Amino acid sequence: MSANDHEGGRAAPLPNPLPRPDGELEALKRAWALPKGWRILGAVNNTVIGGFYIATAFLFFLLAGILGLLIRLQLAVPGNGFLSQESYNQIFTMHGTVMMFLFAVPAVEAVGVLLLPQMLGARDLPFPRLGAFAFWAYLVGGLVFFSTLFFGTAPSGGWFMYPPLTGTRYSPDIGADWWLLGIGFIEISAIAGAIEIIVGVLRTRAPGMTLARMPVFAWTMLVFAFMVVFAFPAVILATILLELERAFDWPFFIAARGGDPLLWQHLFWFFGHPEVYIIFLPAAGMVSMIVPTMAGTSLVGYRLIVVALIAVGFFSFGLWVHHMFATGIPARSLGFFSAASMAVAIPSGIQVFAWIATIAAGRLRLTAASLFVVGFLFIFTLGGLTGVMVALVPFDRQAHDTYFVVAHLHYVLFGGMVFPLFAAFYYWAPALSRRALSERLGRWAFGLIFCGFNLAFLPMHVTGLIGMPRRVYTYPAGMGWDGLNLVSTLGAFLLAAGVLVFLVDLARNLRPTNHDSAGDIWRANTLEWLPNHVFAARSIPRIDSRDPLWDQPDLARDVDAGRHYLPGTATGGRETLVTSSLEARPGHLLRLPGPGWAHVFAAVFTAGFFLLLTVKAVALALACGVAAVAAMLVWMRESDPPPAGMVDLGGGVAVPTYASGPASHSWWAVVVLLLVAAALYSSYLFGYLYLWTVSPQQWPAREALPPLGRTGFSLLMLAVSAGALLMARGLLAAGGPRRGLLAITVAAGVASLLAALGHDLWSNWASGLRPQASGHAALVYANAVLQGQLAGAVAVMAGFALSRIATGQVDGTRRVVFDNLALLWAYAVGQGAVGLALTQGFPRWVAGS
Amino acid sequence: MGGRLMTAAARTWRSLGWLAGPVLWAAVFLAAYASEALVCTRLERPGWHGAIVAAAGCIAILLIAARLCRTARRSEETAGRFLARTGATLDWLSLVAIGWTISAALLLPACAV
Amino acid sequence: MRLPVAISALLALAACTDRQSVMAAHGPEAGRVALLAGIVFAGAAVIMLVVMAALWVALRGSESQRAALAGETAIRIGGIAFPAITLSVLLGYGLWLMRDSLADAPPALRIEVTGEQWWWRLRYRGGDGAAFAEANEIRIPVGAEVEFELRSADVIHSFWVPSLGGKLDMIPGRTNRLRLRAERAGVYRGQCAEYCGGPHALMALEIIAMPQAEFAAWLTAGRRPAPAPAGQAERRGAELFLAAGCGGCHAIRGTAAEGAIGPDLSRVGGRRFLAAATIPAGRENLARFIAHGQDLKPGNLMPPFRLLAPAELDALAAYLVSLR
Repeated sequence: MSANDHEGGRAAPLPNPLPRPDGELEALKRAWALPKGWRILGAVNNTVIGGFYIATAFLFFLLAGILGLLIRLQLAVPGNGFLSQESYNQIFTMHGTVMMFLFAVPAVEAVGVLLLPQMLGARDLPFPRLGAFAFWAYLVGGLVFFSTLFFGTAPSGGWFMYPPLTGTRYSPDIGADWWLLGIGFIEISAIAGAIEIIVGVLRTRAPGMTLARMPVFAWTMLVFAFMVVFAFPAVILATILLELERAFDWPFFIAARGGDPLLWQHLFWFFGHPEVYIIFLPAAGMVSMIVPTMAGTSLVGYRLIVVALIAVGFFSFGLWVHHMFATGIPARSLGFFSAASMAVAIPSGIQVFAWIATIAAGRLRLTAASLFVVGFLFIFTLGGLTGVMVALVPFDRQAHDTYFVVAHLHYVLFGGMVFPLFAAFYYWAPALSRRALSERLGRWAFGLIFCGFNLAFLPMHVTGLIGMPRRVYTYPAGMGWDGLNLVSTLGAFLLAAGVLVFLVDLARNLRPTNHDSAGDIWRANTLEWLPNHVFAARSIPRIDSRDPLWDQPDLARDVDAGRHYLPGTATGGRETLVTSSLEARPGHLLRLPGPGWAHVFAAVFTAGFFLLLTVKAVALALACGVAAVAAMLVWMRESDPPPAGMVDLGGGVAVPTYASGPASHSWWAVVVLLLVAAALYSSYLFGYLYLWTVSPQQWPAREALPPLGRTGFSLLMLAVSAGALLMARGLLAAGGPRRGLLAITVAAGVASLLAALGHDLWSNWASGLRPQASGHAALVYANAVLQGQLAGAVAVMAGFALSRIATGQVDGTRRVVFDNLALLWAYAVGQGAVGLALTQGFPRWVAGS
Repeated sequence: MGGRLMTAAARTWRSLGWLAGPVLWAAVFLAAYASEALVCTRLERPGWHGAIVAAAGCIAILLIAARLCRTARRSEETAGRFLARTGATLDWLSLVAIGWTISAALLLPACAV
Repeated sequence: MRLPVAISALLALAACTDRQSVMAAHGPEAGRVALLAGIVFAGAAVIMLVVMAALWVALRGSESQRAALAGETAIRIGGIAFPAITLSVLLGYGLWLMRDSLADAPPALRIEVTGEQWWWRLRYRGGDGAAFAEANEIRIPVGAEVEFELRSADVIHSFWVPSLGGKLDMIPGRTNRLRLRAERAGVYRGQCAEYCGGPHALMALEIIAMPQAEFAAWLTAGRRPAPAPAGQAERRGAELFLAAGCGGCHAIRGTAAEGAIGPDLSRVGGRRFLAAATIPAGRENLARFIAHGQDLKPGNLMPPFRLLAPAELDALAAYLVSLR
C-alpha cells in the first residue's frame, strides 16, 4: 500500500541532533505559558479553549437532557397535568433547539478544537483567537438563550420554527426572536469554528502526513466543516428573512401577500438534513480512531471510509425534501429525494462494515470505550434501517411527525453521536487528564445508558405506528399509548442514571492537564498520544505512515527529545508549521498570537449586540455593536507581523516566516469565508426563483421597474469599484513611494461600492416599491440587506487596511491585509452585479417572454 | 490576466477533479428538481421533463464513464493515486445515485401530485 | 435473538390498539402502506440480525471466520453491493406504490377541509351545487373515493387519519388534495400531525364511514335548516344563544346565528365529540365547555362564558344537544 510505505522514511536521519541547546525548552515553555489564575480566561491555547468548549457543550447536553426528562414525566400517563401546555411547548422546543445547536454541533467542534492540532502534529490551530472568540460567543449567547426558559419567554414554535406559526401574528411574543437572533448568532460562531478547522486540517499537518495518511477523524472534521460552510448559510438566510418579517413586516412567508410558508421549510431543511450528518460524521470519525487502537490493528478500508465521508457530504444535500414528503410536492420530485435518501444509506453501510472488518482483523479489547462503540453499532444500525423506511414516501406519509420519527431520530442522533462521544471521553481522557476514567464506572454507565436508551426509544416506534403524533403535550387514555409511554419514561430515567454514573466518574477521575497526562495507556497509533506539553509535542514529527506510533517505534521518544522539526521557538514566540495541503510539505512558519482580551470582549459585545436587539434595546445594542467592532480592530492590531527572514527547522529545511497569496493561511480562510458568503447568496437566489415559480403574478411589469438608466448607473459604480481594486493591486505590485495614491484608490473604490448599493436602494424606493407590499418587493430589499452587510464588512476591512497603509505596514511583500480585503471586495462587486441582474434584469426578461 | 485565470482553473481541476462524480450527481439532481418546478408551474409542459432528466442523466453518466476509463489507464501513476482511486469509487457511487434519480423519473409521471 | 422477539411482542401489542393505528388499515391506501411496513420490518429484522451476527463473529468468531470478514472485500460486499441491490428493489417498490396512489378518475365526493387553530372546518357540496358547513366530524360513504381539499386558515396543520391513509399538510395559500377510501363502515380517528401551536395536542377529528344510502340521507338533511327548539329548555337555550352573542362566531342554519369564525353548530347535537374530537359529547360537557372551555381545552380561541348561570348553561346545552 503506497500510503504506508515508510521504509524510505525510516532510513533518513532525524532532522535535529542531540543534545539540544540549553534554554531551547525553556524558551518554548515561556512562549506558550498559560496566563495564571482568572487570567486563564484570556488564554487561546486549543487545549484550554477546547476544554472550556467541551465542558460547555456537555453542560448544555445535561440541561437539554433534563428538559427531555420533563417531557417524559409529562407524557408518562395520559391527561397529565404536570406541565402546562405553554411550558411543555417551550420545553420541547428548547430540548430540540439546545440539543441540536448548543450541544451537538458545538460538542463535535469542541472535540475537533481539542484534539485536531495534536493529532495533526501542529502546536495549535491556525487562528487561536478566532477559535476562542467562537467559544466565548457561543458560551454567552447559549447561556442567555437557555435562561429565557426561566423567565417563561422561551420560544415555543418547535426547533424547526415553521412560519406562519412563528410569524408575529401567531407568535407575538419575544420567544421567536430569541430563537432567530440567538441561534442565528450561534450559527455564525459555528461557521467561524468550521473555517478554522478547514484551514487547520488542510494547512497545519505534520510534514509527511499526506491526505492519504491523515487520521480519519481529521477527514471527518474536514468534511464536517465544509458541510457547515454550505449548510449553515441556508438557515442563516432563513432566520434573517423571518426576523425581517417579524421586525419590519416584510412578507417573505405570508401567503396572502405573495410569500410562501414552504420557502422557510426548503431553506431550513436544506440546512437541517445535512445537519444530521454534520453531527454524525465527526462521531463516526471518533469511532474510526477508537476501533483500530482497541483492536490493535490498522483501520481496514481507510480509503473506502474516506469515500463514504465524501459521498455523505454530497448526497446529504439532496435530502432536504425528505422532511417535506407530506407538504404536497409533485410525486416525481419526491421520487428524486427518495432516491437521494437511498443513496446516502450506502456510505453508512460502508462505514459499519469497515468497523466490523477492523474488529475482525484484530482483537477488540472490551474496554468501556469499546462497549460504547459496540452499543453505537447496534443502535446506529437500527436507526439506519428505520431511516431507509422513512425514506420511502408512502411509509413516511404515515410515519412522518409521529413518535416513529422521534424513535428514529434518537436512534440516529443519540446512537450515532452521543454513544461515540461517550466512547471518546473514555478513550481520550488519558491524553488530556492526569488519570484515566474508571473502567468499572464506565461499564456501569454504558450498561445503564444502553438499556435505558433502548427501553425509552424502542417502544416509541410502536407508539408512533399506532398513531401518536409528535409534539403533543397530552394524549387521551384508551388509545393504546399509555403503557408504551410509561415504559419510555422509565427508560429515560434509567438512561439518566447512567449519565449520572458518568458524571460521578468525571468528578472522581477527570483531572485536566496539558503537561502530565496519563498518556498512551491504550498503545494507540496516532500523534495526539505523543507526550504532550503546553506547547503540544516538543518537536513537530516527520511521519511516513497512517499509524505513525506503531510504524515508527521510536517516534514518541525522538519527538519528545526534540529530534524532529522545530524543537524550540525560532522567533521567540508561538509558532506552528504550515504545510502544503495535499502532500504536507513544509511551507512556512506561522507566528501565532498569544493570550489576550480583545477577542473575549469582541465575543461578549457581539453577543450583547444580538441579544439586546432581541429585547429591542436598540441604542444599547448599537453601542455593543460598535464596541464589538472596536474590540475586533484592537485584536487585529497584532495580526500580520512583518516578515522575519528564513528560519531553520532542522534537517536542512529552512522556511520563510511570511507568506502571502495562496500560500498564506489567511488567504485560505478568506476563500472559505467567500464560500460561506456565496452559499448564503445562493440560498437567497433559490428563495427568489422559488417564490417566482410559486406566485409569479406579483412580479412587476416593465413600466413599474426603475428605469434602465438607473440600474446602469449602479452597474457603473460597481465597475468603477472594480477598476479601483485593479488599480490598487497594480500600485501595490509596482511598489515605490505611492502610499497616498494607494490609500485614495482604496477609499474611492470602497466608496463607489457603497454608492452602487445606495443608488440601487434609492432607485427602488423612487419607483414606488415598498418591502411590505409583497414577497417580491421584500426579496428585492433583502438583496440590498445582504449586499449591505457585505459592503459594510468590506468598509470595515478597508478602514483597517487604510490605517495599515498609512502607517507603512503594507507593501509589495507584506500584503496579506490588502489581499484579504481584495478578495472580499472583488466578491462584493461580483455579488452586487448578480444582484442587479436578478432584481432589475430578471423581471424585465420574464415580463418580456 | 486570462492566462492566470486559465492556470488557476487548471490547478483547481487537478486538485478537485477527483470530486467530479458527486458534483455531476448534484448537477443532475438540481437539474431534475429545478426543471420540474419550472416545467410544471411556468411552462406547463409536463412532457418535456422526462427528456430533460434523461439528457442530464446521460451526459453525466457519459462524463463519469469517460473519467473512469481514464483513471483506469492512468493507474500507473503514483502521485495523487490515493485521491484518484477515491475519486473512482466516488464515481461508481455517483453512477448508482444518478441511476436512482433517473428511475424516479421513469416510474413516476411529471407534475402529478 | 432479543430483537425479533421484542419486535413481534410489540407488534402483537400494536394489534390490540387500533383506534388510530397505521397497522389497522381500513382503506386501500393504508393497506398498501401496512403491507409495505410489514415487508420493510421483516427485511430490517433480517438485516439487523445479519449485521449483529457479523459483529459477533468479528468479536468472538474463530480465526478463519474472522479472516473472512477482515478485508476490503467484506466491506465491498456487505457495505456497497448488498445495500445497493436491496435499496434498488426497495426504491422501485416505493416509487411503484406512489404511482398507485396518484389520482386518475374523478372522485365520487369532494369535501373541503380547512385547518384552523385548533379545529377542522368542513364544507360539503351536494350534487346540486348547494353547499353546507360542518365541523370536526367527517362523514363519508363507504367504498367511495373521497377527495379532501385541504387548506389552512392560519398556520400549517396536517390532516391524518392513519387507518385510511397517509397524512397531507394544510398550508396557507395552497390547496392540497388527498384521496381516501374507507372499505368498511366504522369510525376512524385522526389527529392534526403538524405542530400548530398551543393545544395542537387537542386537535383531533373522526371520519365516520356510513353505508351509501345512510350517507345520502345525511347529506340531504345537511341542507335543511336546523330543527326548531321543541321543549322549554331548548327554546330558552335558543334565545340565550342569540342573546349571549354566540351567533357572532357560530352559525346555526335557519336562525339569525350566522357567525363564521367558529365551528358550525347546525348539527352539533349529532356529533360524538366536542372541541375537535377531544371531549365526549353530551349536555353536561357542552355546558362545561361553554363556561370552562379554557380548562377543558386550554388555549382554544373561544372566550369562557362564566357569567351564565348554571340553569342558563343547561338550557343552552339542551338546545345545542337538540340540534341534530
